[in-house]
Amino acid sequence: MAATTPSRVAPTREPRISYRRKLLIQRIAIYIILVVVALIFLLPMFWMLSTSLKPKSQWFAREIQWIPETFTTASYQRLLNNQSTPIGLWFINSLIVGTIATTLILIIDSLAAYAYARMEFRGRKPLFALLLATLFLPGLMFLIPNFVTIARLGFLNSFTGVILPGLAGVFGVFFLRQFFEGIPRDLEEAAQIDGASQVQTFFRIALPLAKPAIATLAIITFLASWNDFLWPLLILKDRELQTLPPGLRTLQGAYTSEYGQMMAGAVIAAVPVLVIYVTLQRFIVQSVATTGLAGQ
Amino acid sequence: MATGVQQQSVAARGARRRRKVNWTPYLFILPHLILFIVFLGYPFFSGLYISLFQYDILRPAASRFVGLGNYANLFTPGTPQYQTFWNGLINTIEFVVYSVPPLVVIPLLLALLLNTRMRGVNLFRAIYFAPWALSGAVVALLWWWIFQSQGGLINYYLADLGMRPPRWLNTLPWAWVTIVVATVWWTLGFNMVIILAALQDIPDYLYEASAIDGATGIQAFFRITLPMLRPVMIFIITTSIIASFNLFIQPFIMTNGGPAQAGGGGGTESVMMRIYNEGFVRNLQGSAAAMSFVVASIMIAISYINFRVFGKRD
Amino acid sequence: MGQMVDQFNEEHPNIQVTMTSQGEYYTQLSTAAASNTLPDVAIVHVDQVATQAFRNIIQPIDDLVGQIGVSAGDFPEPVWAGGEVNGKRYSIPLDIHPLTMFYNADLFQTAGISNPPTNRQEFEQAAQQLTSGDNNGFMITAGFPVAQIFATLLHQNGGSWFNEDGTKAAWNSPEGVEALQWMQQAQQNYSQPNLEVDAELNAFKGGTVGMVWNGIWQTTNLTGEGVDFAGQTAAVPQIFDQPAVWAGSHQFTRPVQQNADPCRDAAVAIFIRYMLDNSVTWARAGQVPASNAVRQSIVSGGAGGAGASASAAAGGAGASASAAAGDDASGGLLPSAALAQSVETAVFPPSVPGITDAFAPLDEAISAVMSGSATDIQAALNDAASRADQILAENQQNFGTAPQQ
Repeated sequence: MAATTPSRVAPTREPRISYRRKLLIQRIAIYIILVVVALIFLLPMFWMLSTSLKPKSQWFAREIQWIPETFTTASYQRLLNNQSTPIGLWFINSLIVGTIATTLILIIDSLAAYAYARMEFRGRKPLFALLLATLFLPGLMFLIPNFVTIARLGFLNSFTGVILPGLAGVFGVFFLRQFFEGIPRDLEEAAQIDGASQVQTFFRIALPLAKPAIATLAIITFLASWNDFLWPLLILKDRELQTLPPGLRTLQGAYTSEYGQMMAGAVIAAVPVLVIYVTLQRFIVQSVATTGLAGQ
Repeated sequence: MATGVQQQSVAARGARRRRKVNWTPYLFILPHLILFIVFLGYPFFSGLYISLFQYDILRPAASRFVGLGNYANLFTPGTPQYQTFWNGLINTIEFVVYSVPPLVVIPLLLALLLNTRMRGVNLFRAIYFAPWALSGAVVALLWWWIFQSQGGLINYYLADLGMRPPRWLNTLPWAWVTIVVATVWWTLGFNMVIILAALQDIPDYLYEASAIDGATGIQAFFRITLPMLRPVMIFIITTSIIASFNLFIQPFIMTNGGPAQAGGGGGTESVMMRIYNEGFVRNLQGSAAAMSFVVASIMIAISYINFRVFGKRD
Repeated sequence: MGQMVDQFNEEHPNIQVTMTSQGEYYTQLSTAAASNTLPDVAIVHVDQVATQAFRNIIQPIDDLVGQIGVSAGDFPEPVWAGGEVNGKRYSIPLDIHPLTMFYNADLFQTAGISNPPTNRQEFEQAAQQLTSGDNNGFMITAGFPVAQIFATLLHQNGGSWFNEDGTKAAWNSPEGVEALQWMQQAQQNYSQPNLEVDAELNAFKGGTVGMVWNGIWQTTNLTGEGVDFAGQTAAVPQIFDQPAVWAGSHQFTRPVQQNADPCRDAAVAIFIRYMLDNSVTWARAGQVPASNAVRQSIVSGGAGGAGASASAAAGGAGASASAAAGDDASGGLLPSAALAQSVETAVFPPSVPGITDAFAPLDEAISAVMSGSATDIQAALNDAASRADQILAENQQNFGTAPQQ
């Protein structure tokens, strides 16, 4: 903003050069700030990568080596060959859980959100207020009762048990309702005049318009599931069923100090997500921009 | 609407009937509502019920009704729960106070810098957002590694500069610094992206008008940008408070709740760690449920105040 | 462990064992119990045996003791006693993992110290000598494992954690105060103030530290390939009057099953027997085998095979296994050989459910003293003791006097 404002100031003749110079200096200053901040963001990740490629004896070398003196993939090999840390499997598990949870949440929440936004029915307002209120309850208070419920339903130690309670979340409904409310009513009314039912209107008009909001919710939901630590830790018992966050935690167990392997594990867990993120990031920003959330 | 005039008499009768049988909205909300009742509504009340018992899921026969005993323990000095619970709660509130301002201000500043048509803006945006894609366990591990005192990056360079670096992870207030840094680094990008999107929605003509009026950039920021961002900032402040209240994995991995304090309770032990410990390490699940409800009440109160202060919404 | 299980499976085609290991192990065990998916065998730490027994996660194993072919005489007394709860046996010891001294033999050599210290005078002299410039003779943190170090010194000094029946904390005795004072002194004289958990290990690996005391499980990390110098292990020196060392112990237990199955029980017995006899493999990872016979075989090299097979005679399944023990041991001295003696003086907490909860205030008090946030040692230990007493009382009320279904 600071950079764009001056361009709108009507330039007078004499200070034109100094104005340009000022603009240039301003830009350089901004770039310097941006680069410094970017370094703060990148260096820790680079350090993680660097440690994962060092031999065990150099993890604590007295001189900091950003580039390892001797490269070795020993940490990766040990990690990948260690049967008790099937990190590839954990990765796939996280992917499965995240994908299923995201898909289901999108379906369930978009239906509910549309009803709360656009349909008239008895109890709409109090129900929605009730939903909103739970947004402020700490997740942990549901931990124990839900654990009991999942145990009674026989879903312990299964992906179902991990996914199910998350589907009750209210954030997605709230988020999408905001968006649906922002869609001009004319479009839907026109469709209904043409004889479309409410269901048809939803699928043909509202849902396609909501694509960016749904994409955003998809990313938020997926990453939340991807990062979830405590719930899968409680629900999943078998090593082969673990997701990444609790799995990675076992690398930091009481009896190991395998920092190289921990960092290697962190890299393995991070890289694919970062790749997906970099390819999708433009889309994320655009979609947030078009949701009701940002446009108020 | 206007087309219905001729058919009104026919439609009127149908309308009354349709009004009764229009189940479509209910069908739309039903899947979510069922899950909501099972996993948010029911547990709310079952948690309330459990909190009245000495309860361990593995020993149902040993359950014992204790009335408000579990709550009384939290408010009676000298019980095993009292000191550690309040210590955890105060720590958590402390963390909210430390973490929310940077989680709001820094993303705002970065978003302002990035809201230009300069080259490479997309790249920077991607970099700042990237840590959000890492799992909390990874982030905590990484920053623990960086802050540790023997060969950790930060102390190495501070020592190079001739400073006597603090024991980050094991002394206050530095342990909080490490946790706040890790948290801000991790989640700042999300807030930034949302603010950025909102910034891009502010119409240019507002700035043009203010520039013609001779307003400086800073004046424009306070007169136009900030007021226009208000709904988004409320959203961000609220979600940041809630997220910070749920602090768990960062101290769990980085400090294990330490440093220990005289009189009990770790200096960075969050209330969520406390509840986890009570319910799943000591297996006093009734007492843990009672703790959850006390925390929930306080969170709701804080959220309410937040809305009263920042938003005369709708 | 995985290697041992694989070998077992190879040698026992009719019994298949799959191993799982977990972070937050006891939480996971609860989950398994709640979902009726407990394994046939579970390894439990000795200080958790009573808790898991009272929570109906593990069941008495008395009926299998004969089949496994072990008796009290096969193990050091304290570690065997740790497996008994309310007069019933719930577990069979696999290993003992004591607090251990790791030292940098290169630094020792430079300083002209020929042997690792074994008593207070030698220790303090060595630590003093090795402390100069950037180097620390002895390094001690303000977090884990200071509670283990304290326990060692407390018992060496004739003190005790708890009273006889485990209902009251007793660490706030003069012996306890003296032990903690010594730790504080050692920190001031040789170490650095206020180190976080693992800092002493990281510094040791950096090559600037003469001695650290940590769990024997750090062996692969602090000796051999783990470091650029000669990292060695030795028993923790005896600072006070009596020999004693803190130790943990992994013990085999039989989790509760919905339906009893004699076939599975027989397989469990065979498996436990096999793992005990082959615990030399386990010892390579730096654990000290609990079985007297196997431990002797380590100390005396290959000759110990005979001892192992002798003890195995009682076991139906031991025959093939004992030979393997002999072979493995012939590989020369294992790191844990140096510790084999000291584990006989290992101390374990009483078999009381929830006992680990009562350690939390003590851990905090010790850390508070070591980090300087508490200055009055007696007051800190008193306060920890009174809070532990409350927790013990609460546990007693919570768990009752005997496991109930």
